Amino acid sequence: MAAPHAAQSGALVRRAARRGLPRPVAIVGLALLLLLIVGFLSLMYGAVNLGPGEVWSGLTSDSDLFARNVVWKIRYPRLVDGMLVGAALAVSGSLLQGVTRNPLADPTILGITAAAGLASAIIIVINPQAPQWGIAMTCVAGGLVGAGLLFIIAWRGAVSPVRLALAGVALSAFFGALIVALLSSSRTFLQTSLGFLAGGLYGSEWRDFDAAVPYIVPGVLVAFLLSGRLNALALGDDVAAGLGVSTDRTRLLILAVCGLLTAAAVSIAGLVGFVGLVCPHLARFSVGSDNRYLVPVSALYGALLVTAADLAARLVIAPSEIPMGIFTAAVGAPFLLYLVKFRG
Amino acid sequence: MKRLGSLPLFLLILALGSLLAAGCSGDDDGPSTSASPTASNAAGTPNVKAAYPVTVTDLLGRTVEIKAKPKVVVALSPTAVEFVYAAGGTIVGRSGSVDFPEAAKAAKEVGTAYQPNFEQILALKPDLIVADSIIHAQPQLKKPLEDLGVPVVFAGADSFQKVLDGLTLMGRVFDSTATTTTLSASITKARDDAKAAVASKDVSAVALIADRDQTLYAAKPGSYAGDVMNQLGIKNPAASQPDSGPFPGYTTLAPEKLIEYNPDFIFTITPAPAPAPRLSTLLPQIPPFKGLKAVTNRRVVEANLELFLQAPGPRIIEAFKAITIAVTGS
Amino acid sequence: MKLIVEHLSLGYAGRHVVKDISLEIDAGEMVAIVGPNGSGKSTLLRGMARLQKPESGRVLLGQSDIRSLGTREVARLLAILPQSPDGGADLTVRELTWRGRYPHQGILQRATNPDFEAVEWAMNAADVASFAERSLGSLSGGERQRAWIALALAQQPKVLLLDEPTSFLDIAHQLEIMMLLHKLNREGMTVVTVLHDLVLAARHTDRVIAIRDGQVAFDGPPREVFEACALERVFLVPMTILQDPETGLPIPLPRSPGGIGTG
Repeated sequence: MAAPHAAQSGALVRRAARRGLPRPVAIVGLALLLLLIVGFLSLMYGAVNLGPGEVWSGLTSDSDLFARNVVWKIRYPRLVDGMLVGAALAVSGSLLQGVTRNPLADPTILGITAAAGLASAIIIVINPQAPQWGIAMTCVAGGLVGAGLLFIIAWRGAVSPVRLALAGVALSAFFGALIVALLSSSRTFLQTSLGFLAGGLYGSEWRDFDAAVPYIVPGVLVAFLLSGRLNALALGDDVAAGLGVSTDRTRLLILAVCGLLTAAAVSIAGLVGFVGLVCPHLARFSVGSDNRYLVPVSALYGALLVTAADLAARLVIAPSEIPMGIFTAAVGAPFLLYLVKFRG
Repeated sequence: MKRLGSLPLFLLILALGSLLAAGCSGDDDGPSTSASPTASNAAGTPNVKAAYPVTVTDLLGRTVEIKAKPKVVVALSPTAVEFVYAAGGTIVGRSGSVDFPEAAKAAKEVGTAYQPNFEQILALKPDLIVADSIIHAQPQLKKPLEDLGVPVVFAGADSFQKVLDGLTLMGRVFDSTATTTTLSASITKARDDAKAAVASKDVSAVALIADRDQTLYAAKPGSYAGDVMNQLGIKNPAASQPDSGPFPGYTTLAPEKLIEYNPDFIFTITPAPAPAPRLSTLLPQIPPFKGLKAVTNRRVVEANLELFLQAPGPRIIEAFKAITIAVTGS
Repeated sequence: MKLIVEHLSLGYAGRHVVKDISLEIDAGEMVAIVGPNGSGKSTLLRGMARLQKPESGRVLLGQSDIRSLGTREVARLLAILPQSPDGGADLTVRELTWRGRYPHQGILQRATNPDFEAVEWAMNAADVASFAERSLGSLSGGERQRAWIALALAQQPKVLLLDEPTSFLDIAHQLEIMMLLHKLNREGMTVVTVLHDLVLAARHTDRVIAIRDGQVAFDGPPREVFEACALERVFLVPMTILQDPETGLPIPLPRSPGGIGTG
């Protein structure tokens, strides 16, 4: 973690620190730059490699039809979809970790991903030809139901992070089992269901983006607006209530936003794990635990992680693909082990 | 708290409501796979010599305009590859695990049938993509393919009739109606000959696949292997079972059911490549199956994986022959 | 600003903990609430801070029912420090204090000058400025408690409620906290604190309210109300009252019934 110290030396950062604000600028700048670089690389490399000039002409003109098709129709929408998925999952994870005051909370562990995934599996089995906006809407419905169940079962009235985690794990296992049952008994089972279960961006297009954006953009905005209340909630329920936060209403709202964001991500990429767990921790290392910074920086890290994971997923065994979720888990699982071992 | 009380319930109702709405409204752009055969048949009357551009209706019922005779073709499943060659075309790109015809093996591999690589397809700069109307019918695959800016026709087969339909379609696409008509006629004749030889024996048979857990799945007439048996008048005791399990057109077959059916013949299909043991050698070793008629009479026959499962298509003639030989001994 | 409790009843899941209590706390008073465990004194404090919804009765802050005011509006007038808060271990003292500005800040508003001033004042008043950049987890119990008080002070409340702010602290730190509260009170803040320690209550507050079984047992200046028989009725142990030789204030002590140490 050399970056925070480097950042601390900057005058701007010192001023920020004096104001009781964390020291975000340099790290965030670095991450943004990295996202730009990885993003551009993912436009260049794949089963077919393009030069920077070809990527540029593909992005900006129709002059090179092949580059146009590859960049504009395949890679660019997929890149944008990936960033959207990463940001949504990471924001969802940071909200959940904040609201549960539990560093291990994330949409997968608390069963929200599985709830959205179940809804998605149901709609695909009922109607394999369902349009993407219908799938996204169904996912969101599923995600909200999952979040609502979590609230009703584990959270109404008295707060207990343990009860919440147990309920989440149970819901996750239950919905996960139903998903597998549904997919393995369904007529439409294909190898593509592996991409759904492990999470992947194969075949993502503008229509996935169009279907998910109406949920993700408001979701992320509301998440930013809620970050002040989340800061208060981090101090404990009574302190938060004393500071003027309606704790139950805020929690329900936050869970609903998590349901929305997670489900929209699932509608694009299936059951991607660990993004929501890892990114908030990385963000916390970088900018501290003030949610006003943590939430947006998590979003940035989420976009970066998914973009990088998808690039790897496309390159490793090209022209075939490994589901992108394998790579987020490959980064996420060791990180979780590190947390368990060294950070309690 | 009172204000909060009904909110979770409201969310639930909202969620369920939109679930239903999405479920009902989803079928507006989905041509079902059964919509196609008559349409393409009507258009493909053998004697009409088609001059390009030609407009064809593919097996998903889509209308596609072919501007000139396709020269740079990518075919995305074994079936699609065989259709192209049967109509006198050639390919430059193909899906993985294509073994027939020999000439196709040299074409560049562009991902697997279930996960075609769009970039590599484009890199070959094709003037036609032949996708599989069975494998690529889902919007998640169909739509990206349609968006590549290259004409794409969907042709695939899960039945005898679809093989004929596919040939008719490809004859129009490649302007080789004479060739495909002849081939269709010989396929029909092969079916009729085989039926004449087999039907008189009045045999019952099941066609089985096993998955990795040795769960058995029996082909129903809705599957390609099931239809091949059905076309020859072979009684299929599993025909009336409900569809279940992951393989479309197949039904999960409990061991008790197999014993109850006790068919004259068991055709086995082994998806796992060698050296994995063939199901036909495994099955007779399983104790409960030792008393089966087919086992004691040595009538458990390994069916060719490509002919019966992986590459439905013009080689259906060979599939008919294989069954005829197994049943009649000649 | 007056804090008035009118026929307040509070409970959890059908169990009545506070039964029809009425009190009036004047602006500028320094009040201790005492009573045995489970008597309802903490619940009463939570009720006064709108953390718990009354079963009946109401709490008035100035002229208005505390539940008719917006919860953020209440937080600008009244701060409560719950018993042993456990969050925020990774925050610095300064960051913690800043969070006390929550009720004053708009949803997207950036920090304003009054915010900076309030935070500086709160940290100085609670005497935490010297370790403002240290994280809460690294502080001693007394320092941490003062940091939490700084959080409450950053709200710039007229009324400060505290639930056992001295528990788990050694004598020196207990004294430190009580002196701090005393100072705030002298500067005009109304202070109401639940206390375990009767000696601290007698020495540092103007008024003691004793709660027994959810009702007020006695209420008045310690000099007048700390009598052996009154305390015995509340705590159900024999008591004796000594007199502080310096101040003349009462020092209540439980008597050892078996006469331990007296032979």
